[in-house]
Amino acid sequence: MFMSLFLKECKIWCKSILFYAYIIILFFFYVTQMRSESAIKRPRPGEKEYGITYSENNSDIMNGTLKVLLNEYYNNKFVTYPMGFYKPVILSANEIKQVEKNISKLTGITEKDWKEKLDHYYESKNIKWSFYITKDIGYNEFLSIMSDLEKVIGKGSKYSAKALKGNAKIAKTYEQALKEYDEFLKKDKVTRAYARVFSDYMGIVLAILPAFFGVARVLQDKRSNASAVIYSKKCSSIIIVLSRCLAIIVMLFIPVLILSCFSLVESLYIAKTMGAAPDYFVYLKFCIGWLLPILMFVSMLSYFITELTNSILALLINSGIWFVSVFLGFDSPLISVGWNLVPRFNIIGMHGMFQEIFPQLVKNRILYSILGVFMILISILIYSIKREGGHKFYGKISQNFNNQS
Amino acid sequence: MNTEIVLKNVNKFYGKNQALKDISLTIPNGMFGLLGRNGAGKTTLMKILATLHNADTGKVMICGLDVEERAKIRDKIGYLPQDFTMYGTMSVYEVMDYLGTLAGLKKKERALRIPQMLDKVNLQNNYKTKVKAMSGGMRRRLGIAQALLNNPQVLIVDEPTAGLDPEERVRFRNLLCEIADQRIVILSTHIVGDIEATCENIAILHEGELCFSGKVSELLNIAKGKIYIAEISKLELEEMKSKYIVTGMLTKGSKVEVRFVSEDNSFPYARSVEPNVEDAYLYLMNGKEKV
Repeated sequence: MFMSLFLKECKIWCKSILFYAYIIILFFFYVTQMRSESAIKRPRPGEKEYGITYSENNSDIMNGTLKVLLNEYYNNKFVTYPMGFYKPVILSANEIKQVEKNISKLTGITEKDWKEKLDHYYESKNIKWSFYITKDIGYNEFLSIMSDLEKVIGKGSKYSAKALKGNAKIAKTYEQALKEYDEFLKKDKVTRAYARVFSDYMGIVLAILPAFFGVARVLQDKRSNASAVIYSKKCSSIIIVLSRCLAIIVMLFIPVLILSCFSLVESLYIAKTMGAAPDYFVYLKFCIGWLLPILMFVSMLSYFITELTNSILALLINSGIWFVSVFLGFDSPLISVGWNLVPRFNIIGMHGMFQEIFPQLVKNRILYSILGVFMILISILIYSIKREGGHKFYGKISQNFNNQS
Repeated sequence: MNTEIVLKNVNKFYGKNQALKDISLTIPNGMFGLLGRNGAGKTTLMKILATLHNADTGKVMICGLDVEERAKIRDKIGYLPQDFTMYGTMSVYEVMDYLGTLAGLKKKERALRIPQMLDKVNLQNNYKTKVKAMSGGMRRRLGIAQALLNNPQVLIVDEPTAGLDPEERVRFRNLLCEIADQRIVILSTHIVGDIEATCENIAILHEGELCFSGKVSELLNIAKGKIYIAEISKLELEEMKSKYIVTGMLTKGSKVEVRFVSEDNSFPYARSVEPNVEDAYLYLMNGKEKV
């Protein structure tokens, strides 16, 4: 009975405009985002530059941050992302004074001296940067000063603890560039690097689009007045809900797999031209391990909320989760995992960095997979209660459980 | 085999509102009519029988099984709810196949039963018709066909003729009578004509209370000698309406032939007539309201 019902549920989606809209949006997103990604080129000795990297060294972080601070101070324009969106901050005279005090502490020179030096640097060309953190300042004290600065400038500034590493941009050496190229070729086998970026992009859309499917499937019964007939049938609630949920997940996952094949073919071609031994199954692994948990969680959360409330409330909740995950929940806009629904790794290469975040990524994905399964289980429970006319509680939500004649 | 439905002291509350008040009723094999105004509690009672609602107190036995044994009961019943419809994009055959699967029928059984049922409800030429393209009457017939898929011992039909044109209504009533052979068919309606044309046994609900249960002939007996016809002038009509329950009127030129309920023949020129179900129902309802 289950397979028969599951196939019928899949067929329902095949006739749905929503499903084709999903495919079009997914394809459009893939084409516009993934096409712009280019491969890492083999570095040659003696090149003018090899790109930039982010230093983990405390001294680099401190000096890099000082440079950013002085630049922003000079222009009195401090870049912040308080809600994930860009917001330039212009400080008042009093606030500027507080920043100046902190710069004096950081540089260890008088306000008058560093101001003169800074004016001279910006007015004259070809002067080497000569501002450094004084030796008297340790990393902990530096962090404390940054905390003070953030209070003055506002949240989401370049002086927040999360953003400090991003200030430590340093030029890559030839050796570093070569190492990264080798890792791209041998460890990532080219295909893995592309699969990561594919998952990164697809994760953004998969964190919101499946929500529409959970809502649509549950409300379809209500809109079509079909609930009572279906409730009265012999089939168990477990089979009904499970077949519906699995059909949603499978039908939403198939287009992702097909798109991944396009990307796989492209990355195989690049791998071949670069002489790398590609991993043919890496996209499949990333789709299952990275994207499936997002898809499951989002679609099943919306299914559960809609089953509970018989309304489109799930769309609001899912939109909120999506907004927080994509715009607020990151440490860095390009690479971020934590417990965020949408892990980010928007860089081709950086194998070492991926290895570092991988254990957390695994834990993160397991959490969302479990939550997805949990949503299915409680949806079954709620459906089962609704089939029996609800229970002896009466509230706004439970009004959906009972329909008095 | 036990082929009756027994309700004993059934009560149902929605919050503080009591939808069913101590209902005790036995429903035998054949067509059974459940009559009552809108909001009388008919749908609640039907939903309890269809295992979609719980009774708060009391006992409900369907063909010897306690209604709490939902899985077993659902295997024995067919249910056509009020305003039945299904997903608009599905065809007639797909609806039957989908609901047949939910009813636990295997593929072979479905392949055999679906054409039989569609033939029975005269939808044999509409296999590919989409639900959204069907008329109200066609949808009701599809509803009956799906309810019969599992060959149920009990068929529960809630307000099936509301909104149908007269021809469709007659066709539908006839269909229900055909089906009622060797099974219980419970027809809930507020249209007295449906009951009169199809049911031998009926129950009447009024504000959640059972105010009559028995054969149609017994209901008619209650109103016997209380139904009259009189020919009056149009000017007397308003006065007539204020004094009596008028169950029918027929204009004849400047006169009106009025059919009314009266405990005694106090109206001059009135003659006693045999009551029909509508007269008896209105007589009963009027008595309930006075109480």
